[in-house]
Amino acid sequence: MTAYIIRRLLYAIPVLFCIILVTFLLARSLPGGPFDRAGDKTLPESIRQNLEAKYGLDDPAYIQFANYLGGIVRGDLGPSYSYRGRSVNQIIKESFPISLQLGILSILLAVIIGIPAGIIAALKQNTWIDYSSSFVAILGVSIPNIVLGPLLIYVVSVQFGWLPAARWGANYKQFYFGWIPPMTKDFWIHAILPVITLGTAFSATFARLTRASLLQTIREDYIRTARAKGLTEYGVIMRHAMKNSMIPVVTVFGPLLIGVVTGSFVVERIFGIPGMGEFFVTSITNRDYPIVLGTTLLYSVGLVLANIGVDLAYAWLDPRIRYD
Amino acid sequence: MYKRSYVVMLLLALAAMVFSACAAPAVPAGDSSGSDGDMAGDMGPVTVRYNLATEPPTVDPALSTDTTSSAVIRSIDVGLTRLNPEDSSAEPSLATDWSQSDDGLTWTFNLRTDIPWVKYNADSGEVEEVTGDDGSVMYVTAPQVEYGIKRACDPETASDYAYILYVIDGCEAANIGEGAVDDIAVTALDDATLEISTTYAASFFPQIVSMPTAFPTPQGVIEEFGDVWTEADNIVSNGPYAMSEWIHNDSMQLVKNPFSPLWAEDSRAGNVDVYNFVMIEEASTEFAMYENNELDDSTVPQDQMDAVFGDGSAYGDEGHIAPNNCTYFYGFITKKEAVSDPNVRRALSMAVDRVTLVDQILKGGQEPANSFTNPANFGTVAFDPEVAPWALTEDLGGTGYAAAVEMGKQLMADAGYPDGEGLTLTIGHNVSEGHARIAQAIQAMWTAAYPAIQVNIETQEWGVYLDSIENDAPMENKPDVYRLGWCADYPHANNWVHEVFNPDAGSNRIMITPDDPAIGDLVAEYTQLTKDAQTASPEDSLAMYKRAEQLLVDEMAAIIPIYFYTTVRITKPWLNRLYANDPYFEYWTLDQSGQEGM
Repeated sequence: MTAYIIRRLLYAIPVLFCIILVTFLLARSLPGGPFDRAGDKTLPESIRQNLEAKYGLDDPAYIQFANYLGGIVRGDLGPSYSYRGRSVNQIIKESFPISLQLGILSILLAVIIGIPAGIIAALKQNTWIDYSSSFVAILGVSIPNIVLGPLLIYVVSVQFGWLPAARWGANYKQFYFGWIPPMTKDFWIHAILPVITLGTAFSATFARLTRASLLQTIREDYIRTARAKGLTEYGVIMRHAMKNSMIPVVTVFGPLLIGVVTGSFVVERIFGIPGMGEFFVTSITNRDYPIVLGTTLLYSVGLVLANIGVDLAYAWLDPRIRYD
Repeated sequence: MYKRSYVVMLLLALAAMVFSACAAPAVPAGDSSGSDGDMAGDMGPVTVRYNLATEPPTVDPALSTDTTSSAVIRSIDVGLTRLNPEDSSAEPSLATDWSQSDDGLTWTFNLRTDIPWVKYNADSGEVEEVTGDDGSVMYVTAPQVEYGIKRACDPETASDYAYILYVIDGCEAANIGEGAVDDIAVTALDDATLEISTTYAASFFPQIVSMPTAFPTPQGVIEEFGDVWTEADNIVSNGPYAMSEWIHNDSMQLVKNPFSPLWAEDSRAGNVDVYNFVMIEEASTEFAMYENNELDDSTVPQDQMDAVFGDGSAYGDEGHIAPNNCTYFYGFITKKEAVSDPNVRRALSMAVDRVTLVDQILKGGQEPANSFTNPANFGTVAFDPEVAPWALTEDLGGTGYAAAVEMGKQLMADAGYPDGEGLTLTIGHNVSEGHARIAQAIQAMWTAAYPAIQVNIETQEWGVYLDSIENDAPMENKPDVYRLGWCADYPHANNWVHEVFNPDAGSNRIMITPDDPAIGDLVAEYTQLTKDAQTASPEDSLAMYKRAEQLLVDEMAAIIPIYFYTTVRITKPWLNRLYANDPYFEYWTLDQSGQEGM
């Protein structure tokens, strides 16, 4: 098992190198540079040259790339161009934990709602319970965050005044171990609406997947055997059917988790949450190359790790799968 | 084995969460995330909750270029002069008075030396005076202004706005690496006297030094902390407020600096002790926070304009519209075949129904524009019926839209495009719902006035768009007409007609050149005029700026001024604020009983 993990991690190195190289080239192939303008104003040539010299952009591209790789080896992702005096490391350190908290809570909510809903729908197939659960699931998938978020803010905050309309209830100066928020009332009341907004869509996905997969599994021979042995229905489902039917769910879970914990631009923006999502988008508009590369790299590393995690989970869920 | 380690990890994570729930975390003083309850208690400090709308890209005066940074910097730092919020004239700040030598090239500023450098002490929660090694209080003095200006000109600093200071003798040479920073003509004669030489007799120089780029900066702190000297833990400042906390991309807190002489001396000073800034980018969210009483002031999103300003509005008189020193305009790439004829350009400008655009599309109380220079600047000719009268309504002495279109039709026919027949052109703008609406309206107006014209609209991502209208961009990539806005760096016509469109000095995206067969003479006149106006006496320069505008918008018709911006805000009844171009936070007053009563 350990050898397998090490092998997978080593394979990841060339993959990550290619991602960095392609991102580096793509970002620089966009027309316009980071220092062409200040707001609406074009900067004089001399000013631009000073800025490019300060950030080493006057070097040939291959030297810039080599410098960047050198930085990565040292754990330094470089300075931000658009936020003067802040480094990409610092920006990630400040914003990533917030996206992580929002993402984990949303996925938790999605699992808590989605998987039981899927199980019930499968066991009561073609009854009104199944139909209404499917209806809610399709609704959940269909309503985009950009509609649900403002709707929740309008109803819950503006109309009833029950919860704050926006922001996150903890910041990077308060986190334990750099990423765990203090579990204050303030934290929770700010988390409810964005977590619901982000979580419901995923819970619908989980519910659909669980239902479909479980329906297939309970028709398998070994389930009939289990029933024949006289096991209770609960035991059959929970001990035998559930584990196997989780394989498709786990397959989407990994990439989904990474997508969510590295920031959801839409939900973070609607709720004014200072997470990482914004940087994925604005860094491209700003031609802030180090942030473009830093966020992409973080996402890629996360994805590689999540995929390894998913593969390991397969072995646990299905004893026939071995990685020796 | 595998299973067990999984369980152990889960337990660890749980333990961490429980631990964190038990330990009461030290909430920083600046934490303003509590939406309710924070304000409770018996009349604590007078606190305004305000949205900066974005993370300030910097609060280093030498590096600031945008309005958010500038709003913060002007609250925590002072410059030699400051702009009067009413008329944008330069008034004393750090400098008590100033004089210009007979040849107009040398300025002498007399400084007050009783403004201390201060720093917020997070442990005591107080703003404290900064003291030197010998324990004496450190005051802002002329050498620190000299350092601030030289630092901004230094190419190592790589200040975006250094070029604003190129008017100072030696700054440009140093900035482009052809001169030494020490040779920049800024000299502290003593602690209270500063002498600055300029390359030409610029009458607007006192307004230039009101910009953060020319502010004094604390050399010792900058050298000690480097790029991060502006973090709340490191920064020292000297303005009416001091920064007590800065949570990046989330919030910032300013607290009153009791050592600032402004509070005692300036009769306009307000009563706000604390500003809790948040950084919410989404306008609809900001507005929801305002409605939920989490903010005392907000922008008004486009879709709420009617709700706030309509008859019988539920918001009473909370909505405010104030002028903003920016102009929205369309520029012609005059070297493009379709718009190379000034008559065609004038006809197009005449066919823009500015009043309808403002009333029906924008709805934010903007003013239809007949000139490039915004009304808030020295040397403006806005609403003067001798400049592009066809852009003005009859009330203002203009021709009105119907007559303008008739004139336009004649010009179009004279140019060989009767009813626009045979004329195809492209409007370019960067991606934005607002710009798209305006472009579509103008496309419809042109098509209504000249039915045979073919008008296309092209949109591009911001960076790509700006790149495509650069002077050195390939001609085939450029649109015929481009949209941009311009906001004043300092409130003087020089910052408009000279720094933007003078072919020798400005970015001149309209590509006017003296060898243009149709308007060459006019370009030469414009170039000379805007240069001469810099050194003319203020009285004489007025006529020159007027002539320059006539050339720019009418005779050369190189741009279409469309409207002058406004600031549209909604403010709680208990907050009394200014709506000038800068916020002037130090002049706001808040009635705590009103705020607490909510």
